Amino acid sequence: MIMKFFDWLESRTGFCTLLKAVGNRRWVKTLMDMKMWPGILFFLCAVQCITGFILWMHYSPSTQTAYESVFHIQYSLWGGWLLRGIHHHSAQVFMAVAMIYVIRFILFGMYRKPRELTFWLSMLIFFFGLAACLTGDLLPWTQNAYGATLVRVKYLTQIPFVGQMLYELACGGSGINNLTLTHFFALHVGVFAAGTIVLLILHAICDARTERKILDEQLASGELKVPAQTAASCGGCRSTGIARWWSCQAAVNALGCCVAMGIVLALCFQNLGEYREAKKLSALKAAPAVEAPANAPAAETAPVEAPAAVEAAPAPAAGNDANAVVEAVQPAQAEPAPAPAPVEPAQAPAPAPVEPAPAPAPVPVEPAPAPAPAPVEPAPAPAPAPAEPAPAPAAEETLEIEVVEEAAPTPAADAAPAAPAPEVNAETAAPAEAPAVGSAVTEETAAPAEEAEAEEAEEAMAVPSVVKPGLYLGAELGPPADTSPMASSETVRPEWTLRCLYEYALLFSSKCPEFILIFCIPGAVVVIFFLMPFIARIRGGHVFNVAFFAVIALALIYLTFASYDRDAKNEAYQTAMKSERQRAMDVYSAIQEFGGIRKSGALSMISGTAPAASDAEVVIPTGPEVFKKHCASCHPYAPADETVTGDDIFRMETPCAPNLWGYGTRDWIAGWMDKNRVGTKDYIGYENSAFEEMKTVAESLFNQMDPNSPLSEDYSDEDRAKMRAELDSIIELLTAEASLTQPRTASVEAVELRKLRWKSDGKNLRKIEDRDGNEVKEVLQYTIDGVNPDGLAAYSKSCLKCHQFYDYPKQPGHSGPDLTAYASKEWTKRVIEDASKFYDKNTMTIFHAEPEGSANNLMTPLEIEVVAAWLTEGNLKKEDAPAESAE
Amino acid sequence: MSNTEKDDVKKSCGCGCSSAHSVSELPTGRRCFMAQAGAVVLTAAAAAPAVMAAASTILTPVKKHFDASKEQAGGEVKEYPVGTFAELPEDGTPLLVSIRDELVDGWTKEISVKGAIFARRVGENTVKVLHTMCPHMGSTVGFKAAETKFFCPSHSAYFDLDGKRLDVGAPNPCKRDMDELESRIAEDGMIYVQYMCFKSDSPEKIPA
Repeated sequence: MIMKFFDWLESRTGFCTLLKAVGNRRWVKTLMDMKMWPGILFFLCAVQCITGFILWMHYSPSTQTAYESVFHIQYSLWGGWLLRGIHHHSAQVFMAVAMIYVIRFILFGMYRKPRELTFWLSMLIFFFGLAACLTGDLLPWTQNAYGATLVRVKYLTQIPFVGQMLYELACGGSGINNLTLTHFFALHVGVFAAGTIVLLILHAICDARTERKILDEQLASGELKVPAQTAASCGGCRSTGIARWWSCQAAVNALGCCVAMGIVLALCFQNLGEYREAKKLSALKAAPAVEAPANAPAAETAPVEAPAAVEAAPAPAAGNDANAVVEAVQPAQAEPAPAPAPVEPAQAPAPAPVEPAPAPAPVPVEPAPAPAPAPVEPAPAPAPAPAEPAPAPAAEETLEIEVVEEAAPTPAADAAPAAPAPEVNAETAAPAEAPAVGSAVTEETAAPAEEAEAEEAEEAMAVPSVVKPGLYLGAELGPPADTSPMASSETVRPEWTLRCLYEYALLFSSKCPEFILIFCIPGAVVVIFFLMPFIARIRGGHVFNVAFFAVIALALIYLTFASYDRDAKNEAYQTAMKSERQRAMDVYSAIQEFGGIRKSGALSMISGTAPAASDAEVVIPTGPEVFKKHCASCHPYAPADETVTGDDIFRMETPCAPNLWGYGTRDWIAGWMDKNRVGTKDYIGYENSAFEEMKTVAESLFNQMDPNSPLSEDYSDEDRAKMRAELDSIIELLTAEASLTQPRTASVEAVELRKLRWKSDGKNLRKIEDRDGNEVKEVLQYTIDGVNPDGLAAYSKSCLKCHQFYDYPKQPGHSGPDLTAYASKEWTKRVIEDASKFYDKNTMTIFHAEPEGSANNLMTPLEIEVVAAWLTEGNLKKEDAPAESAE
Repeated sequence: MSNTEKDDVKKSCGCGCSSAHSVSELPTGRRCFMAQAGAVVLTAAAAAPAVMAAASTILTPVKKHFDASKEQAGGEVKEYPVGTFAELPEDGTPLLVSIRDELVDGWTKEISVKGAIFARRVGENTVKVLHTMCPHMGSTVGFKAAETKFFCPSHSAYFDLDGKRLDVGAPNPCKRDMDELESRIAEDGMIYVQYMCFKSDSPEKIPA
């Protein structure tokens, strides 16, 4: 059945023939590792494709969403942090492997005829990989990504004539912005990633053909003889000098892939030990804070963790912690002292030149340990991290590698379906197993403890939280890019692959024009590398090539180390790095607290968007400063006495808004109801006032109280005195509102009023009817806590028509601001934020109507708070004494 | 097998297997098998972390779905204030009101329109609230004031003011009437609606 299917497939596509042709590739046996490196490159490229594709599904390239979507991947998606970590770190390992491959070509003279093209292709693969790294570096839109890309792209402008044009082409415009992100994303995926795949395939085809040609030539010339079939089973590779891809080479390659993935995982988990310590500490801290449950779950991202912390009373929790320390120490002892993380990537290119034959080691078929390979160990030796599963033992014994490799990942695969978080399981299982093989003694004793530890870690790491600045799992995610020129760029550094060039530029930039330094000299070096196959045809050419390479390599290694060393000794850099990491953690905490990211972006969620230097302070403005900036162009703030001047007095000839001097005081409020004052320009007498209605109402109503006015003819002195008393009670009522710090609660009875209707009886007086049409005279049985009933009665008679008060609705069709808590700080703040909510015919600028962080908001919440406090509390304090005495 | 291929075997196969095989066949034998198995297992092992990380990331929505369905048992339906009873037109014309809530859209979280309802005065202090989502395929039902009917333009479905299906011109494609939502009028006249969505194209109102 299956065979039939393959026959059918073969007849239609020739697929099986292709597969066999690939599997049966043969070549003259040289160095076994020569064929391993491209295999690992293929593997890492496939890993990049798989992880990259999933990242692509969740990534959104724009300045408003790039960081936010990466944050979502890192902290919200299940295993997203690991995905991102693998993608990032396998790119680094890819670069290292590509380097080693090119170096192998040069050192062993393999680049010579007829392998020129395979050599060139391998170099192109390196450069495409580098370009993919550089374009990919920008995509998370962190401070470092932005700063580093800015510098890199700026170098383009140094090219004579076309520099500026190239710069604009690369940016997609005139700066690093939205279009740069979309350009870089497309280049990353569509050109450099896809190009790397194409180059790898071309390289494979070219390599197969070249090797076959060499084999055929050697067989034809009799240099290589095929022995008669030996009785032994497939040992051909050894005995004949002909190597074959399937299956010995494939097994070697697979082993190499395992080591590569081991290094990637080690890099992803380099902070594991420290991370868990910090996590435990923060859980301990959270435990006593159980009384404040509102905060606890917010601080603790993994919801599973919260109840655990609650259960763990301080005492047992401490016990756990002690155990954990012991456990943590054990694996650490089993391994050589862990090297600091940043050193690891740098060492990758280093060992290869120093070290002649790194890889024949892993020949797994060989029963006897190969004599040559053992001595000094290659890349994996300075195995970086404590959680490191594979590379460390790999360096030690050849035979054991196989065991380790098989032992470590397989249980992970087995455990996967059963466990709730498979990928996490894989990781925790691997490190648990690895040291066990390394030292058999510790294995048995430590095993149960490690298992428990693994479970614990699994729980904690389903979605990692940021417990301490700079502690990350997977790949680090810095703070979001702040593109303002005020932002510090002190911590901006390139990836390890370019650290040497960075240091080189630093050292020589004062002595040499940038164009020659950055483009001509490195360009010339690259050209010489590409010309190596031709140079080698000259007598002594190969020696020159190797020497040239050695000089360049040593220089680059020196520069790389010098760069890291410089930073390690630079205290300013260390502090800046600390504050940058703190910033990343602040962003994380802000987002966790809010439960998501505001549409305005992650950057807007941390206060003080641009701490230019570590010692920057948030300057709190004073009330007069804010008033001058935002209010004084319309509102005067000046006493009637024109001789008074000062920094906080704002006078103007033609105001276009009320004078706020004494705002909220009894006197000021009384002015609104004084027909002699309300019409002046201190109130609404200014030009084009939108408050004409208030003016006419006030004047006509209060004329009734003036004995000299013709309007008051119908009223007796007694009536006028009553009116005066009512007016005073309204002023009292509103003055009381102005000093409110807490909103009042309206009594439930007020609701009844909603069932009433307003009607005009034609005399500009209101009439209230209930639903049945009966006139209601006494509507004043409704009360508001803390409000004088007399004042309320007077208010509802004279003001309620136009001004809502608590739940008392105004009459439909009339406009006037809601006077609930009138002129209090809260009321003032709300008017400043959006006056159109208060005034139907609003002429005041709307200062803060959009969600925080929006560019359309003209004032910050802080400014509004400051100026409202100054206008209300400050005024009341200042005006208290004179206001009282005036009465 | 052609003659040239046979020659090829003699000349250059070089694989010293006990069982002679052609170039186009893969080698067999115990050692070969070990290497083959090793190659397959090791490659799979090396790729496993990446594949598992990718799979778990992409399966996040499925996980959330299961987590949510676990939590949902016994969960309360959320009530939304939609306005006061007094605001409803007195003649019983339906009023279209949007339901706003804090919505999570991928990574962003903001207050936004979650849905909409028609609220209608049907008597003294009683209100009828209808979902704007068509019970057929979930399009948005509108109100045709001229005909005083609800109308869904996607498949020309008409409903009367109470949300009952009408066959105007063509048979109504819906299997149930417009969905009525639970509502209550609080003491202060505010109308609260239990906003939720129902499964499309089902004869029963099944919460979705």
